Amino acid sequence: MESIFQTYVFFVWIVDKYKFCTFGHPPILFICSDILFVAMGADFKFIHCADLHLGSRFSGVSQKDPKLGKRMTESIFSSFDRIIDLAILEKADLMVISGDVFDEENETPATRYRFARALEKVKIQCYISLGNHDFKRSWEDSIPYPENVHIFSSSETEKQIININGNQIELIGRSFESRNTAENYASSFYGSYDKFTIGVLHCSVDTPREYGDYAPCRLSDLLNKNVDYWALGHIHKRSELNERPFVIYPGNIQGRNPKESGNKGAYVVSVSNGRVSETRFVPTQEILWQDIETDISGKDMQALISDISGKAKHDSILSIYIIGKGDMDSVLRLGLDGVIDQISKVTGCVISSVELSTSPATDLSKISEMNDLRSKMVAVSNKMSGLGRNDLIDKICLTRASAEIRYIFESMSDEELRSMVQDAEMLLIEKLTEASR
Amino acid sequence: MKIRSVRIDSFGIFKDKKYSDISPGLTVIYGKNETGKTTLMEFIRSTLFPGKQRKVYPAYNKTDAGEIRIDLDDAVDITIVRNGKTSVFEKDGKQLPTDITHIDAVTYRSIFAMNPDDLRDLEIVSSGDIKNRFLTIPGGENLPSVIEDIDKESSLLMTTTRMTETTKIGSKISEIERINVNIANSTVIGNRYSELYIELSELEVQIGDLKKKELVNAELRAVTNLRNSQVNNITTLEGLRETRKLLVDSEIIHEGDKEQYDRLKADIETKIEVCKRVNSRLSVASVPLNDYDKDAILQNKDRIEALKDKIGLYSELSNQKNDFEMEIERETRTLNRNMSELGITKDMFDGKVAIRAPSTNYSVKRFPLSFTLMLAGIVLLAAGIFTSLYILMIGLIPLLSGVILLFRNNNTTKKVHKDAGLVDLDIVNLRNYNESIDTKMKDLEKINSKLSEMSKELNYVADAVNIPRSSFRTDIILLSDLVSKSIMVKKIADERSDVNHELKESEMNFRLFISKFGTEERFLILYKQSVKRSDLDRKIYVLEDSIKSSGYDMNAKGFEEIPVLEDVTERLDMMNKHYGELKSEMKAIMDDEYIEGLMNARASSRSELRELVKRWGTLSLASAITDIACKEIYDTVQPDVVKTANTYIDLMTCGRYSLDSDPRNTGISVISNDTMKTENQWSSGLGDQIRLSLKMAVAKELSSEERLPIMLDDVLLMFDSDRKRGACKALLKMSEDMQILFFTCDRETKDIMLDEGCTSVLEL
Repeated sequence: MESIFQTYVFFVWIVDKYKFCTFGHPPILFICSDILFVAMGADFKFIHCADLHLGSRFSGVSQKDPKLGKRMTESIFSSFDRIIDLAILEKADLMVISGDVFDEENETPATRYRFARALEKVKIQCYISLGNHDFKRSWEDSIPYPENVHIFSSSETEKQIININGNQIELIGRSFESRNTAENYASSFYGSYDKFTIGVLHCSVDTPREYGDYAPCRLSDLLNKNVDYWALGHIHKRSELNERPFVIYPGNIQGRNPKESGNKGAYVVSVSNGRVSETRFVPTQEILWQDIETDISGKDMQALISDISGKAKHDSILSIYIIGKGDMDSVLRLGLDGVIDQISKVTGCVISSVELSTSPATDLSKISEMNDLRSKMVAVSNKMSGLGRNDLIDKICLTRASAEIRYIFESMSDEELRSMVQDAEMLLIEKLTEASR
Repeated sequence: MKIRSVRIDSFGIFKDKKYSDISPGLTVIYGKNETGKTTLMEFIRSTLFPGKQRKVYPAYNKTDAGEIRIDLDDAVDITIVRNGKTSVFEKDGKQLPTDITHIDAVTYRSIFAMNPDDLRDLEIVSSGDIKNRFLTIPGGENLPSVIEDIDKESSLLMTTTRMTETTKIGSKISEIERINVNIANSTVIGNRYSELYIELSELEVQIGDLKKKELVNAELRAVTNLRNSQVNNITTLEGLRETRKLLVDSEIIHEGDKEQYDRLKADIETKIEVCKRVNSRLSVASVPLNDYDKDAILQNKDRIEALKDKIGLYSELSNQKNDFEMEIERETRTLNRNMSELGITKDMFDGKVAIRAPSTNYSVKRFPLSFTLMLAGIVLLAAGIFTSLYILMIGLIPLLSGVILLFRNNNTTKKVHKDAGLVDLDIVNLRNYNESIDTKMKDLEKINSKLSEMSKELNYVADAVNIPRSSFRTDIILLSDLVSKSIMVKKIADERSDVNHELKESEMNFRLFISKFGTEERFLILYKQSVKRSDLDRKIYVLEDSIKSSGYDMNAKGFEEIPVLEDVTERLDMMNKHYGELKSEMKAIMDDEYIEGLMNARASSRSELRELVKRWGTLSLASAITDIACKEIYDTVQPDVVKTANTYIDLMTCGRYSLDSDPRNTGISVISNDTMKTENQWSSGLGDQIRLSLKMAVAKELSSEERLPIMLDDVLLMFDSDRKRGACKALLKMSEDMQILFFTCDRETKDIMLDEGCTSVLEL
């Protein structure tokens, strides 16, 4: 029986390896293989996290207050410490970190030292694939990692096999060698049929080319590779791209700017009988970047602030989006700083940004019907919002000097750029209306 | 509103002038200089719009009078009467209300009734209300100021041409660059960590080597020290061994033999001593016995002891003897007296004669004496009672004496007064009494015999012993003492013979013991040698043991070569110090708060830069939106005034120029072949054309309710012929809507007007 099984395994491996007669489709036998392997699988638990960016600084919030700055920098370490505690609490058998442990420009010996000590504390085997931010490997000799840490090779795809509870677990990984790579690392990942396989990789899946070359691959590259769990890193927003095999971006472990809002943490993955039985996201962030949307329609200042404070979670950093039409529009636009102070005082939270997408009680649509300059402006701004990001940036950066700051606009999200158009529109309408009063 | 006729009663140079039948369209009022064109125009405009005007020609006067007849647009005609400086309606004499026309005197003068100077003043149309109302696009009235605001804020953030530190963004970028430089410098320190680590690792190896060396050195040093410490021992040991070799191994005297020797020797000495003591005791004890026969003492020992026992008896007997003798003597005396008293004779007593009654005179004799005395006393007492106390007292003496005397003789009296019948009894008693005396006599004799026996015995012994005699008791005590002393002497003598015997025995033992070793001297020599040998052996053993226990191997070879040791301590100290320095430097890098602070500052500055850039981007976008919107609106929506003005300009400039009505412009500008010309770029002729066109267009728009008549005083003087013709065309076109009074002294202009179709000319 065993020899038959081994022959089968070999056959399936050959079929998969050389894509015999499959025409790019998964071999039919795969389906059976899943069923067969159920009986021989491993039972264990592992932690998957990525994009720690230890030592990274927060952006989008003024850190003039040194205490706040320190707390923010420290928060990333706190989150990682919690992940370590989580691994210990969950009695995880291993841990995978899918790149960007550090921010290369903020990495200091102290940062590396702290990371090394944390890994020492967790004791279980840790596998790390380096990403585009930590490929440099500074202080590797002077501050070595403890023995339970393995860094995947950057020159080739590397396989590691470990034994957990008598079962062999396979880990495949590859580290970044430089800041960018156009090579599709994932394409060289092949797992073994007879083992539970975890692919540990820092890469961008199905991301347009304009976002940079970070070992780009397509989701289809990850499927049918005998990899049971793709522990990915790079994308800071948590996402589960596929189930069986699981393709998961755990996101970064601590939001550092208004864009990185919501819960941040790590995945606890349970494997039983050689199959992933549970993927559980556990938030570990120290500081929550919270998006709050509020509508000024029919509200006065007090109602607005109480609405925000009702939604705000304690000790988080708030990005407030204010929408709607009403008299509060002009109040907010004239004295936004005061309003921010008041919200901060009431909620006890740091306010990272307040985006005003409000309009005065006078309807913009009415303005657009008036056939005057303002209506023209509304029409122009609407047209501008529809532009592609590069065209829009071109419209902004017309002057020679602006070339130096073009990169900042390029780093902005489409939403941010669009909101700037709206801001510009509101600025003009406000000023023209105000003057005409 | 059209002027139909003007009558001047008095104004300036005019007196009683009347101009009627003025055309409702264009009327050319032609006259050479000084013919009153200006006076006529001033009369009309100051009458229609009276006001406190300065520098007017001609100056106003109280006598100014006249009237203007006007047809209003709604076919009502009114007459305005000039009376001094004021104008009133003819009908009710009220002042001309300005609100009919919505225009004040100044506006009228600068737009509707212009001389060349008024024409050149564009301020009234290029600013304020008139511009907003007629020259700008709806909603764009404040655009220039808005644009100015945006540009101002934008330029504070960033200049257009190059990034400078004077702008907010520029300074923030510089700040970030500076922080980056600082961080880069600090990162160098961070990189130094690796260098330090390498240095530290190397140092650790070196220190390890040195420590090993130090360990080897320490071992060698220990061996050397050990050997040095044992050198003396070894030398001593060797010396001892030599000495030991020299000692002949003669007969060994064991400690036991020596002890036995000592014991025997001591025994003899002890016994000699005892002998001496016994002898001396004997001589001392013998001294008291020297004067006596010692043998006799002991031979009579039993007798003496028996005598000693009788001492008490002897003295008791002696006492009894004395007592008896005394009693016998006393009783004999008593018997004799009693017998004499009782008158009993010896014979009677012995029973040879009869017994007679005893005489009683003995008592009688005494009795009268006491009574006599007592009587005498009583007498004296009685006498005394009656005489004196002395006599009483004297009487007491014989009384008392008599009583005493009486009392004293009482016993005797009793005996005396015995029954006479008792005399027999007395004799019996006396006889009995005598018998007891006899008994006692016999007892006395017995005692005496016993006493003499004892004395005899004593005498015997005393003679034998030859003691000086004294009393019985003393002698016996002396004898007894001698006996006890003799016994003691004998005991001591016995003891001495025992001791002597023992001494001899000990001496025999000693000689027996010594005989094993020959002589005593030899024994002692042998013993001394034995002691010395064992002492040496012990010392050798101790030394050997000590050397052995020190770990020093006496048989080890090569230890004589002492290695030259390198002193590594100093180097090690230096290295350890350096190690500490490296460690603390590494720790300092680890604990570097400075770089952390810089990174925080950079992050903060970047956030701020981002905000600034965002704001600049917003402003830039606002500008872009404004540009596009204005361009589009420029093409589609234009104010009527601009349109009208453009019609006139087109006529005047033969289509070369048109107004630029871009709402972003602050002033007024024209465009010719896509080139914009602002006011200061105009030639004087072009300027007049534009201003005229603009003002006429504004005038048309301003008087949209009640079209006011326009008066132009030689405004085309600066024009060349072509322009004059263009202007005339434009004025004629305008006169279709409004009445125009065109004052000129220029014949060419008049002719062109006529040529272009003007029908009404008024020559002054």
